[in-house]
Amino acid sequence: MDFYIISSFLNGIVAILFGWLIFSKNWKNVTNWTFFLMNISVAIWNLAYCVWFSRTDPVSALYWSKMLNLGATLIPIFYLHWTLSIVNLVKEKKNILIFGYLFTLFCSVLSFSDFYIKSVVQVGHFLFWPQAGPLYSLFLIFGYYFLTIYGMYQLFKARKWASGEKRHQINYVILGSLLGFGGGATNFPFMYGFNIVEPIGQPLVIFYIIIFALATLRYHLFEIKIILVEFFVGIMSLALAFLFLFSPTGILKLISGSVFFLFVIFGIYFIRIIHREIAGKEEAERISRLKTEFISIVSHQLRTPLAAIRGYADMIIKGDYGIMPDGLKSPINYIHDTSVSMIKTVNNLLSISRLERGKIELKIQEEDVLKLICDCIKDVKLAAKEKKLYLKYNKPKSEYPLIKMDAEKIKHALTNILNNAILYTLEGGITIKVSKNKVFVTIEIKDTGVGIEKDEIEKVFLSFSRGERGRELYTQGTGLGLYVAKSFVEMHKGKIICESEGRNKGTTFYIQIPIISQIPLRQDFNLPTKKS
Amino acid sequence: MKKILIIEDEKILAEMYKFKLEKEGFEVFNAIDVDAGIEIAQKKIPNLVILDMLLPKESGVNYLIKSKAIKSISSIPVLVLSNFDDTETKKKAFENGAKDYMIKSNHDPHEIVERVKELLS
Repeated sequence: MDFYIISSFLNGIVAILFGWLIFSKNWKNVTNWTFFLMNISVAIWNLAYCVWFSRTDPVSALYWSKMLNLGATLIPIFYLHWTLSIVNLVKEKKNILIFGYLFTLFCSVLSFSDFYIKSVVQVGHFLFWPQAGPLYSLFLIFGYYFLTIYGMYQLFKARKWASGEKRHQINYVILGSLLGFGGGATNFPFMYGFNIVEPIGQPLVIFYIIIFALATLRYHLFEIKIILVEFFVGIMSLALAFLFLFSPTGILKLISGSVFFLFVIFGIYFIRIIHREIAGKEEAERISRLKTEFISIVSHQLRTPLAAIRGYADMIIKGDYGIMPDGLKSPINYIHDTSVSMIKTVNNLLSISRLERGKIELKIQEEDVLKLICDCIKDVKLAAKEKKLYLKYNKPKSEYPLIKMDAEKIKHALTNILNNAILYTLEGGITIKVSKNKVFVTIEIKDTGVGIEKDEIEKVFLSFSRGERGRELYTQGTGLGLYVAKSFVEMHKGKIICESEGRNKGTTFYIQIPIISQIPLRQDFNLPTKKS
Repeated sequence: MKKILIIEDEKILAEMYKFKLEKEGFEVFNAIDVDAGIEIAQKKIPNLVILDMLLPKESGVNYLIKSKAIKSISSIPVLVLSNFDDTETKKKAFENGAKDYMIKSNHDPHEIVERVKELLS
């Protein structure tokens, strides 16, 4: 039996089986069903390839070569849809997808005509290699190259913001894409009469399927991952060993032998990684559950008495219980301020605790940034008023675009900066401005406060770090507020910048939030380190 | 005199907010759970409800849901006052008709009164 017949048959069966397993696990998920459809297309291509290669008459070979090209025609659009679903861009890129589907439909209708595949001729050791018709180049340019390269381009773009596991997943998909489509591209020169490169798409399809499947499995399908990987590594190793034994020529023996060897090495490597990962995940999930319970207890049980202490102290200060004796003023103010300080510490510790769980889930929605700023100002205006500080907000007259963000986290960041400004400003006040360019919306918070020495600016965003003047003026601060603010802004791929001319010259903070951002909804988050 | 219903099971906080709001000239009623809240709301028809999220028997979200089905109280604005600051709880509250959401520990009683007045104006 020929090497190509066996490899295409096995690839076809594996593609169907793997596609079905992924599909049946969660058929409603777009990533799963697009992967399934892509695999079905790969299977059509491979199984038709198998039949085509075994034909002995040109008429039958021409029919099956058209069938295999139908499979090849369908692959790019499902691939693009799948990759866009991985990077959460299906909605944003729906026009490209509509074009891709319409174009693929057009090519599929043509695929059995002579405009697409006009004949079969002998090329090298292939008896009936299909020859491109006049319209086949259209598919090559707009289907095979445009759709797949566009999908890979989106993957490369997403790779920039991705981190941790997501980045690894994208790396897998990029590697699989390069192997699969790179290999597939070697089939085309023969179709135009260029006998320059051996078509090596078939052996590479094995990696293409396995790598894509591994990447797909990492999307919330962990419970079946180990079974599938072991199953496939075993099946594919056997198949590759079989191919090696039955390869007719020395070159093919060398290729299939190398592929077998590499596959076994990678297969064992993958299995070990996944075993370790699952054990680690189970432990992490257990710890995460405990932490969630702890956070819930802390947030409620600690905040409730603190709210009462703060509230009653405030009411005594405001004279709700009658005129306060002079001697009590200072102690009650201390009680109030200390409870407020403790509440802020609890809030920031809770945020840090959530950050340190590693995976932050952002609730991304389109938000009105101007309204968000107003809400934050509303939350701190009384604190500023009590210190007799002005709080100016120059609200822009022009309209601002809605921005995709987790409003709670950005509000938390901005409120922390505003509270910080109020805390470290003794007279004068705080001015808030907002501006935009094509890339960012920038919120500027400028105070007339104690300022920061130049050599301390870099340290203000570190956890538990406070400036020299901060320690002199306000002993209860923890130095967590700016750290949390920076963490939350950076989760949005934004920037937070601090400027000060030095002691007693005030401080200006800039929060920059990207207008068009591809924020991952779920991400690993690396906490800022001393170097950041 | 404007009427406020506070649905809050923490006695120490319920009394504190009641005292402050009465000082500001409101007539205040307290309820400790959703069912009592619905009952008092129907009897007294308050101008605004201050609602905690963590209540005995069932969540404050259920007050929002149940009150929507009762015509006489369905349009009463609700200010959620909770110590839960997770996005999910807030989202649920707003989806079910809450007008505003404040974290108890983050605000002094007079700030809460200010917000109540804003919502009533």
